[in-house]
Amino acid sequence: MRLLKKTDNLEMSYSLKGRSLWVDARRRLFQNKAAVISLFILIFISIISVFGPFFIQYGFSDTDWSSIYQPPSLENGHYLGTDGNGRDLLVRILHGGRLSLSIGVIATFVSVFIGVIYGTIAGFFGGKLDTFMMRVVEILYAMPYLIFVIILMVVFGRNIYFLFIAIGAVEWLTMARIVRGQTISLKEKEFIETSRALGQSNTLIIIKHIIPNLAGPIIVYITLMVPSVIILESFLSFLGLGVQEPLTSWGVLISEGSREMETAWWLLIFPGSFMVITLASLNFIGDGLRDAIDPKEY
Amino acid sequence: MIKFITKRLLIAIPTLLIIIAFGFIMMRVAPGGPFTNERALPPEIERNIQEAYNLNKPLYEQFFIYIKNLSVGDFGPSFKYKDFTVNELIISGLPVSATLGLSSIIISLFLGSFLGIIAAVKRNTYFDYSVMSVSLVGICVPSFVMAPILSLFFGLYLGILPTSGWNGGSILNLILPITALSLPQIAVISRMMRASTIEVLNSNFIRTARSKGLKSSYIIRKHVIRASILPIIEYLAPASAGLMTGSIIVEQIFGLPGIGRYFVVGALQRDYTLVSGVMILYASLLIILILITDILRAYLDPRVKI
Repeated sequence: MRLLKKTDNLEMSYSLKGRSLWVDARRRLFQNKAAVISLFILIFISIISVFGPFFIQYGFSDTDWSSIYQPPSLENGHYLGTDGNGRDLLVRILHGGRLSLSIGVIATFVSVFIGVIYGTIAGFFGGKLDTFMMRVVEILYAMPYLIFVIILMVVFGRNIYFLFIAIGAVEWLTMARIVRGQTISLKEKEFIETSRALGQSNTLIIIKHIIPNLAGPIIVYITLMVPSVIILESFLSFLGLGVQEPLTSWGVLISEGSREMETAWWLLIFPGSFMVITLASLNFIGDGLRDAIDPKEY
Repeated sequence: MIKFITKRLLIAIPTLLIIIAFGFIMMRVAPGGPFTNERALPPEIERNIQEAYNLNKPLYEQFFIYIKNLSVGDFGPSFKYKDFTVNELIISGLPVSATLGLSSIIISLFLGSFLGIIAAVKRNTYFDYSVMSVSLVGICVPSFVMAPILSLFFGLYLGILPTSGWNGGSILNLILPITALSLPQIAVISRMMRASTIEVLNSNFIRTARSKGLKSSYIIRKHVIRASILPIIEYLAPASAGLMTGSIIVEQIFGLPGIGRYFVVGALQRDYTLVSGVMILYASLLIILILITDILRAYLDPRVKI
């Protein structure tokens, strides 16, 4: 009985004392005003992109020939105007946001998945395997990767699911490099030595010890990669190689807008602003996370 | 030094071969060939065409023929621009793209590093804040948003600069494309330069220089820049890759007859030879650039041995 009480006390004192790395990081992140505001903006844009279209009377592909090129107005319900087919711009921007954001997130996860596995294997096993694997990365770095994506999109048709994979497949290189570097410094640490002495297999060490300790840099890198993926998708859509009509993304809207900006400036400015604001928020959050998780760097 | 360069060049050869093979295979795996039309050609004619372009031979033979021609600098005939060879198309587009690319990289390097150094020296002043916020805009506004806005504002509303066209490379026509192309790079470079200069300014050898009583401007010119420019040198190759892809968009928006435009048109029309030609050109340029950056780094950083 007395023993039990003692451990209770022990637990109490631990829970008072312990402030984990993550709690610390969160506190630092929430002190960063720019990051917090950006986080709210990003959440707001995601929510209106997902739920907004349900509350707008127009569908994203409804054409209305009686109201083409309507400038933004509050009276007729086209708050951001209409395009050359009389489609409501606001609902198209929100729909485009769904697509651009989901491509950003999914393609990022594809590339993080490839990059983390590749990087940990190269860094953990080292030696000739590492040299070879990193040589491959170096060769791929020397390739004008966007040109590859363009060729891939041409070859496999303008399939939107393929777009996820094509973007993810070219963006993993930097991730692999970062992860490899971190793994090399991690694998010499005592706790890895301990688990090896305990007879744990390499796979288990990688999964249970290496990857969780890489979480910091990975999270930071994810927030900085999502914007670059969104830009990449828009770039492809701008060239007519990405998302196809009647589906839309911010890149498609910007591309249409830039062709018609002389008659209808709103078609360029509004989709452009949505995209720029999103990219800026993601960048601020990424910077904030980096300062929070790894305060040495700036 | 010579050993290092030859070693690097030897590595570059397999890299290039892989790139060539990749482009070659990908374009042939693609559904639909360059001569697939809505109306089918009579079989004899189609056979003649295929023979003329060696398309009837097995793939590996086509590949060897291609490599053999490449080794003497012949990219082959264009499949779509009937009367042109790829060499002619590249030669006609290269001056445009090279002018754009070179001037952008020079401008972004100098302006970016200059702004970055001043922002670092005058850290946490209004100058620093304004440079950093402008560069944030540069990072967040992609070139395909910036370019139309620039041409809308300066070309249409103010009417002081032409919105499109090459016009024999006149400076007025170049201002907007070069601005659209370099702004993102200036932004990235100035941020990198600021960070690395701050790091160098806090290091021991700068303190030593200061304690010797050297003038601040002298220290920055002679000691700081040499050390803080290193990350920028390393960024040179990715920056050029960014400029190459950026120029595809910028050439499209401003209607410039450069290589990037040929590439997009070629890819959309499955002009195999044109696309692989442009890809090989870009890849070789990048490989050469990486080599140059390695040499430059060794020259600037006494710790790097080559």
